[in-house]
Parts: sequence; C-alpha cells; structure tokens
Amino acid sequence: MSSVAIETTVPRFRRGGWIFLLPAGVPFVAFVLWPLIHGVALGFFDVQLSETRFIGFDNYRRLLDDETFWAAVGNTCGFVVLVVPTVWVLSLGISALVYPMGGFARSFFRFAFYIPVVAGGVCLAMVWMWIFDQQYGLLNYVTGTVLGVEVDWLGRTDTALASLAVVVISWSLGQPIIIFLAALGGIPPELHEAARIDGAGPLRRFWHVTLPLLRPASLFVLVTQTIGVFQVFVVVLLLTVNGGPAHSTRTIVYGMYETAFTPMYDFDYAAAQGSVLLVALGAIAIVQFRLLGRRTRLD
Amino acid sequence: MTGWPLTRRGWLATTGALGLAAVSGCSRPRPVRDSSGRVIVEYWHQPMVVQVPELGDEVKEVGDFERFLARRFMAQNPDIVVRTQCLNWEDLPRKVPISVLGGRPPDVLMDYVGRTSGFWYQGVLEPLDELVGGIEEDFQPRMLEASRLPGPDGSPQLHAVPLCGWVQVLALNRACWDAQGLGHLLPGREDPRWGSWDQFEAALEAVSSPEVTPLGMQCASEQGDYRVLQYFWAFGAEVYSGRDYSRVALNSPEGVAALEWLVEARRKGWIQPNVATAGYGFYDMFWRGRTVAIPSGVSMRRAYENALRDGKVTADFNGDGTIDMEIFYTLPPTRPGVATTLPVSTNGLVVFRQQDPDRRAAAMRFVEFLTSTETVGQYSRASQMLPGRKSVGQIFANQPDVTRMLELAAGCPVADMGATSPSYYDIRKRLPPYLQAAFLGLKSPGEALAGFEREAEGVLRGQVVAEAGVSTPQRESIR
Repeated sequence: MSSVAIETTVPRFRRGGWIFLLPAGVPFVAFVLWPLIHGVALGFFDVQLSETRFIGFDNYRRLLDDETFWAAVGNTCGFVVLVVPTVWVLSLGISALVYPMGGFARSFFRFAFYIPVVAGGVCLAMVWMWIFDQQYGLLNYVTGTVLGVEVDWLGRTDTALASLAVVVISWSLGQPIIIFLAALGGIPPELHEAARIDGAGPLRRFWHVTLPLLRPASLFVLVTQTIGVFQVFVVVLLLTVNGGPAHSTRTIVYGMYETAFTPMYDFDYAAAQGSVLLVALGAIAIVQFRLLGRRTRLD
Repeated sequence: MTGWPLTRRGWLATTGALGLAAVSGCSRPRPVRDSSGRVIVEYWHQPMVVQVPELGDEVKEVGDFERFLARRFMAQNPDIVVRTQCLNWEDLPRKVPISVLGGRPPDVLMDYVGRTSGFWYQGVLEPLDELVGGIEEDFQPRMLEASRLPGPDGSPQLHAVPLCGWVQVLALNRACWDAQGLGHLLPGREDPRWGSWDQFEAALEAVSSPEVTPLGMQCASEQGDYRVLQYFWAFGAEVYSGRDYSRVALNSPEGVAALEWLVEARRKGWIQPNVATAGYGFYDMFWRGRTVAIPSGVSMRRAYENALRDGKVTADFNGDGTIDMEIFYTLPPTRPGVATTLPVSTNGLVVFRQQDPDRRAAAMRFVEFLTSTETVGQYSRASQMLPGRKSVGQIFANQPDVTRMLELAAGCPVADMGATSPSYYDIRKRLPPYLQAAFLGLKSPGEALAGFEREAEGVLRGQVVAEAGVSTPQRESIR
C-alpha cells in the first residue's frame, strides 16, 4: 500500500514543484535567459531602427579590426589582474584576522566591510570622485602635505586605471569576507588541534589546513569576482567620462554601452561585443573550475 | 499535495500563454485615441526651458512650459490630447532610439537637428515640407538649411521644422579683468571685437594665476566639442572642407597649429589642467570665478540667473565678499587673416512615421502650433535662443549688446561641423581621445590629428564600401 502511495505522490509533487519555481523561473526566463539568447542572436543581424537583416559574422569580423575594442579588452584584463588577486588576498587576510576575534568584533567588522556593498556603486563612485579630485581631493591633500606631490589621479593615463581599480576593490571586499568567514566557521577545529599537536605553528596551520579547506570558497570568490570585474561599468561612466583619458580606462562593458547608446545606435555591434564577453567569461570560469574545483586533500 | 487541477502539459500551455501575453503586451502599439475619443499625441522634448518669468508660478521647472503649451493647444483643439515628456540630456540619446526599436516612439520630438538627422537617415521620420509651404521665407535660412536632408531619391526634404537655435560667441566674466584694473585689455563694450590675437593672448596672460585658468573647456567626451573646435576655426582649420563629408580636413597645417596652441595654452596655465577629463564642470568653475572665458551661446545670462538662484555663483576677485560677475559677450578672436567662423545650432521638431492618418494629422497640427510665430517667440524668449522665424522679431531688445553681437554674428560664415551628415556622431566621438592624448603629451599635435584622420577615414571608407553595393548608403552610413 505504501509503495503505491509513493508512486502516485512523487510525480504529483514534481508537477507541483514547477509552481514553486515560477516566482524565480519566470523572471529568470523573461529578464535573463530570453535577453541573453536575444542578445547573442542580435549579434548576427544588422539592426536598424526601421528594419533588421541577417549579416552572419560581419559584426565579429568588424571586432577584429576595432582598435578601440581591443584597447577595452586590454584595460578590462588589466582591471581583472589588479582587482581579483588583490580582493582575494585582502578579503582572505581580513577574514583570517577577524575570525578568531569572535562575537561582537567579528560582527562589527563583517558589518563594516559589507556596508559599501549596501551603499551601492554610484554613491561610492561619487565619494571617490571627491577623494581623487585634483584641486579639492582628500588624497591630494594628504600627498601634498606629506610628500609635496599632487597628482591628477583620474586625468593621467598612467594612474587612471589603477585609481579606478582601487575604487572597485573598496566595494568588492564585503561579500568575499562574509563568504570566507562562513567558510572558516565550517573547518572542523579538530584538524587545527591535530596540526597543533603535531607541532605546526599558526602560519603552517593556515597554509596546510585552512587554505586547502577554503578552496571551494576561494573558487566561488574568484569566479564571481572575475565575472564582476569583467563587467565594470559604473566607475568608468561616473569617474572618467567616456573611458578616458585617451581610452585608458575604457572597458568592454562601457564600450558596449557607448556603442549601443550613442547616436549611431549600433545595437547589433554592441551585442556582438557582449557575446564575445560571454564566451570569454565562460571559458575563464571553466578554467578556474578545472584548476580549483578538484577535491581537497590534506597532506 | 494531491489533486492539482492541471496536467504538466496544461502548466506548460498556461505558462506559455502567460509569457506570450506578457510579450505581446510589451510590444502592443500605443492606442490612437483615449477613452473620450480624443487623438493622443505624445510630445517628447529637451529640458531647454527652465523658467519663464512672465508666466510666474505656472512655469517653475523643466517640463512645465511644455505642459503649459500643451494645455493651450488642447484648448484650441478639443479633439486632441497632448501628453508631454521631458527627457534629460542623458536620456535623449538613449530613450528615443529604444522607443523606436520597441515600436512606441513619441509622435513629436523636439531636439537638436544633429541628433534628429540620425532618425531621418534611418527612415523613421515623416518629411515635413508641407508644414512650411507658403511661409518658408519666414524661417531663418540657416536653420532651414540645416534641417533639410537628402530624401530617399536624393532630393532635399525637410526632416525638422526649425524652432530656435544658438550661435556660439565667447562669453567672458569681465569683472575678473575690471577688479584688477585690466579692463582696458578687453574689447570695448560698444564694439565686442578683439583687435588682434595678441590682444586676446595678453588678456589671458594678465589674469592667469594659480587660482584662475582663464579658458574653460571640455574634451572628456564629444559633448560640447564646438568649444574646443572654436580655437581650430580661429586658426583657419576646418572639420570638413567645402561640404565634402567623405573626408575630414582637421589634420591640416592650420589644425596642427591650433592644437599646438591649445597644448601650449594648457602648459601656460590658460586652460584648466584637467581639461583632458573635464566635463561640464567648467560651468561651475565659471560661476566660482576659477575660469573666466568660455565659448557659449548668448543664453549665458539666463544660465547665470539660474546659477545665482541655486547659490552656485561665488566669484569674488577683490575679496570684498560680493559677487563679481559681468557676462560680457565678444566675437571669438582669430589669427591674422582668418575670418571669424561660428557654429550655429538648430533645435527642431520632428514627427515620427505614423501608420494612423488621424494621429499623423494631429501630430502635424501640433507641430504647426509649436512653430507658429507666437509659440516660437515664447520658446525663444524663455530659452534666450535665436527664434527660428523672422516674424518673431527682436527678442533681445533689452540686451543691446546681444543685439549688436547677433548683428556681427550674422555676417560671419557658419562653421561646418557636419552636424547633419550621415556619419556625424561616428566621426565626432573619435576626436576627444586624440585631443586628450595631445593634452597629456602622449602624442604630438600632429600625431594626434593624423591618428584622428586615419580613424575617421576608416569609418568613412565603410560608408564608401556600403555605397558600392554591400549595403544601402543610408543603412551603412549611420554606423
């Protein structure tokens, strides 16, 4: 009798499960999946305001010769190289320092580092705009007072990208710290205990016990940070206007925006750039999973 | 968990139907009539008019004036309802094309003809020649000319009805010179023409200090590029030569000399040091007295009134705690032997392609109303811009210096920025990075302009290829 009941209930439960998926599934299909498919398809068409026609790979061929696009690719990679490892190291280091503090202190630091995430990119960009301001900025006040040097941080090609990277780092630490703190809490204390009994100092315990066991969390942080940094846009729009000076801070996503929404309205070419970004991000994520996704083994 | 009313197929069908309903709902064309049977006309416009003192509290912020006009029009045309929408400067280039792609553009749009021309080349605008028939002579010839574009058969057609426009002059804060006893270095109030280029340089040099970089300028983006280009025209350089839009002409000995002068001017402290990344912030610098000369239209006094009201004006050159600001318009100076060339810009009204004859007729009636002598006069007075129609008469009678300036400007050749050429924006946006590179010393002025020319040629070559048959010229040229 019971086996019959199970056979009839499970399919019905599964069928009903679709209903519970709808609140998340419908918006996902409508606002993520469909635009994604539509965006990829758009790259193969010549979209004009009055008509659309299929042009195959023309937009992709055009990308190959587009120096501005490749400058944006270079800058975006520069961003990734500057931001992702820094965020990983800093957030891991801060988490490792904060975790043993326990109770109130841990909550305080978790809150303090997460605040920028809640504040939002635009607010932070405006704050940083004043920090970097050449005439009235806090940074130049400090460097001017201490070193006697004042720099147009956002107006020089050799400092603009790094300055924007600092801004991005400042609001990217919160989430990884939360993740690392949670992951640190999941490491069985017996492992540290055993290592201590075996004579391992704090650094060796961190290197041989903590770090390997944080691999899944690290993988998550690296993948999400890489994707996030590849999509850097707001800081470029707000702080360096047009990806300047001389294209030195132009990123792929900013280039897509400019291509689509300045009066050439080149939506299809922007979509082709987006498709390239999609493929690149997918490939990088696969590589990261391959390198870091293998099972952890403690020596 | 038992007794779900639908099978899996039923759920899929329902979800699909809901999705289709949502999608079809999103792309549903706008209704032609409202519930009372009145034809609906959507009017989108620039945030051009902020205050109209003579209308009192009725017009206090952007959009109020257009709502006021719509009410007046609806009182005269009870069968039409006008819905207005004010777009800010950032939304203008984004929201309108998206609305066209989405199949729900406005019926009437008021914007700069350099932007609306893009819609014409895309084939989504109605020709408007019928609206100026018989009254053509009453429109300002320069504005009318700027609004005529080649139609599908190559013959010129009116894509926008001119509303108002501006001509660029050089606006100074004369108080900066006067406060230091240096007013004699400037042109006289009765004749606002510079005696020579050397006089202009001497005037800049005299007030240049760590606190004041006399020339305000921006080259962070293509917006406001005519301010930088004014110095190229001063040296006799041109963006396009002889209305030949198949090549740019800026990389000439005159162009290189102009850019060399600009780079040197920055080095001397005559231009703000962050010019490479400066946006519209130089206006604030002008109100604060840190910059004292900017190429501008003659509406600067209206902008000053607004800035004063907002508490932005703090210029105080003699430290007595009072505001030192006297807007003084001069004709931009030129190098010896070069005639003063001025950019003239036109704002016009366009009508998007209409399927419904009733709505088309209503939109045309509304444009006719907006471009009537009375409304053009109101728009021009409110925005302190030049009226598109001669019958409006003199609107700057209470500003004799502006009247004099406009008389002088009328005798100057119009600078050709290629604003209504098919590749205007595509070419235009490629110049600022090269100017930035020159200002930052990454490229010499010659290298920068050669780089711009090379990139522009690439764009224009694409157009030539299109004309050779790969695509239709209009379609490809919009790139």
